Amino acid sequence: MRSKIADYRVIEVVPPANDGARRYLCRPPERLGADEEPVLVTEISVDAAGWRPLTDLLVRLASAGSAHLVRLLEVGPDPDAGGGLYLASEASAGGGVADPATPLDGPGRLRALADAARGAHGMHEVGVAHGAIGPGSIVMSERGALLAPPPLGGPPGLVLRAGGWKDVVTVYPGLLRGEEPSRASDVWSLAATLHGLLSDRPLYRGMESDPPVTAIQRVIFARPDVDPSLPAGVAATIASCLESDPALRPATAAELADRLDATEMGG
Amino acid sequence: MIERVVVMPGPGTVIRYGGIVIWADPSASPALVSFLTQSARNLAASTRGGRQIADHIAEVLANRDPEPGVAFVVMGPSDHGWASLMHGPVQAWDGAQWLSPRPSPGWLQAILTPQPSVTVGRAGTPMPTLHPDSMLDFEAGVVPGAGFVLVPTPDRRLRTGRPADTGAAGAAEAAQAPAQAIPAAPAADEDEATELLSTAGVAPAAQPVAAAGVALAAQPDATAGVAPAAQPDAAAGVAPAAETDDTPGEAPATQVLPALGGARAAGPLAAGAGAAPESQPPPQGEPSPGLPPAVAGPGTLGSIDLRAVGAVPATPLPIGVGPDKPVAGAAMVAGVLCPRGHFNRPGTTACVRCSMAIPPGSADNVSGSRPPLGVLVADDGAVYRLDAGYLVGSDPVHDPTVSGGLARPLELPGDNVVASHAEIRLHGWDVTVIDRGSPGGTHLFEPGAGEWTRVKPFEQRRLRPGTHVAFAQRIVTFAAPWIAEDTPR
Repeated sequence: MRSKIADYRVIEVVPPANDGARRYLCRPPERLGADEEPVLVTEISVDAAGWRPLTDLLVRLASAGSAHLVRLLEVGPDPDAGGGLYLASEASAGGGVADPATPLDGPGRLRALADAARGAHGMHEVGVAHGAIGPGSIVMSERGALLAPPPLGGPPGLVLRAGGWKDVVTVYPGLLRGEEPSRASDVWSLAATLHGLLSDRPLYRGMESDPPVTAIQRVIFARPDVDPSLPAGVAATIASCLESDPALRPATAAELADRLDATEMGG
Repeated sequence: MIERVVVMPGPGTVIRYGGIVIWADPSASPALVSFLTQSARNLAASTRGGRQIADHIAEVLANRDPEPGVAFVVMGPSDHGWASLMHGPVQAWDGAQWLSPRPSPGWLQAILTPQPSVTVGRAGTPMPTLHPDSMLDFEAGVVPGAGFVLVPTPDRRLRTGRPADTGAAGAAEAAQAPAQAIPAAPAADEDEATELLSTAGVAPAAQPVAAAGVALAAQPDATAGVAPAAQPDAAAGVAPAAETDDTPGEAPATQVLPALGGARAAGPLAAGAGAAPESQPPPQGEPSPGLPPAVAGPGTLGSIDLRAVGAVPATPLPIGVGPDKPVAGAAMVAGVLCPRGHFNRPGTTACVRCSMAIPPGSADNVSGSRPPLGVLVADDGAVYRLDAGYLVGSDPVHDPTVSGGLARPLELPGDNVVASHAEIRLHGWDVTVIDRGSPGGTHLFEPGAGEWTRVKPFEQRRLRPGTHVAFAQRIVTFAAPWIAEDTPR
């Protein structure tokens, strides 16, 4: 395990997400002027030609100004990791939305997804689509749920790394057909994530026994099947986001957030 | 651009896609022919394709010349005439003079002025005359041949800055010129060619082979391939040194073409291979429009304090469903449009983007930018978008195909997977695989098949959606929104 990333002192390694990037919980350097609260440092694999577009992207994300986005602290060169970059961001002690430090009830999960949708809308307004929204990219904090940055760096053309069906079930099928992420694809993924938080069964029937490649093919060719045992209002909102015609989905993530705010878990 | 290309019978390979014409002698390795073919295909539609491919190969050669004795010539349009790169024992006759790399092995970049044609073949071989009434014409593909005769359309014949040729009268005269008798080619070791090329500024023989062409890095477009000529030779067949590339908005090629084996600057060549210009960095030191400069933070060198970022002008993502966003550098293909303007493969009855029905025959054969053709799903769960070709292997990043920006790397380490194992290419609406002669081989398991079949080395095989491709022991699956059955091309 690395002991330092630039002048950040590593405390522990964070379990990997589906983008393949290595993350560390670190003690920030005094120069940041922050307190001693640990921060999350992500290794970003990128060649020199990719630095500028990536830092431009991060600057745009940092300018989004949404309270429901993970706060970005610093990006810099990481010469000890093959010449890539590191990204320091706030670390949340609240855990992930699927495994929160403080358990969430149904309405709490709805609120969390509404928060994440507002974070996504903030990204969209600065021209960035996330493309990988799922339970692993939503964390809980004192500000409510926060949407983490999209996957950064990696080999050219890489869409995702699927370690299991849970990494695939929230991926918009169009991305697996080669499409670029968009508002509509993020809305789809937000709804799929909500379905996973509220239902005991996967969005695609039988997917729980799929190896990754089969799960990917299932997402491409099968239709999602919303759990009918969900409260009617919730199921209707989710179904509207999963329409195969993007024009029939909520036009923006903010619109989805408003719908979720108005949705009753009881029906 | 090109009126016609006539292939000369005999040993060797002639390649043509769009404005790019290439000849390679029989000793060229399949990998080299494959590389040249893919390069021509990617740059076929570019109005500067000749310059781009010549510059790209020159960069490759400046770093390493893997086949120094092999004769090949690439030729295509540029802003100033017909850009060419001649490598090894080759000769070119442009109607006024012979050109040949000296010394050999070595290479030469030059701008040619066809008067009215250019004849290319192996050094020291007799060249045929072109009969004006000949109907022979090679339009596209890869065929056997000992050389070629390229006849440009008249407006392309005399666009170089050669002082003696710039007059309109001269252009008209050349355009109407009848077939010319070609004087005997000088023997490879005769002084005539050496003297001519020395006048044109070719690097002296004392230079090492890898640099035996001409130093390119600091030279502007029109002087590519020739040293700054103190005495421009009206018959030298090269543009005068004083001419520079002043194409508006285009950086000199040396600033935009990728470097070998290291950091790459994005440029036209990369764009031709499918790289997305949206993600391309602006030139170093030049801030992106609307974004603050990347300033050094208080700590590590080059860091940016993202907490200090204020409001940044940015364009929000579009709302609603618009037409497809074109893939940068993608080929133009014929297809059908759905009612919402999404571009689909011919024969598609429901849009793969929005599921809207496409009435048979409606808006058929519309030309458009090819959308992504699906994804490759590796056995480790990695998913790669098929909006560009890939070179699959255990260490593909050092292959010229990748370092030159002609394909992306798909790294697949494993037993018997060699560094450059096979290529995945996009061809029209098809995805194809070509094994690079790997010892472990490439095998296909097609939908409905009962067994694996081996792909012959360098044979191009079309992949049907759902096909599993085994690169030695590693397996990649081609997934696409199209049906698995054969669909119209």
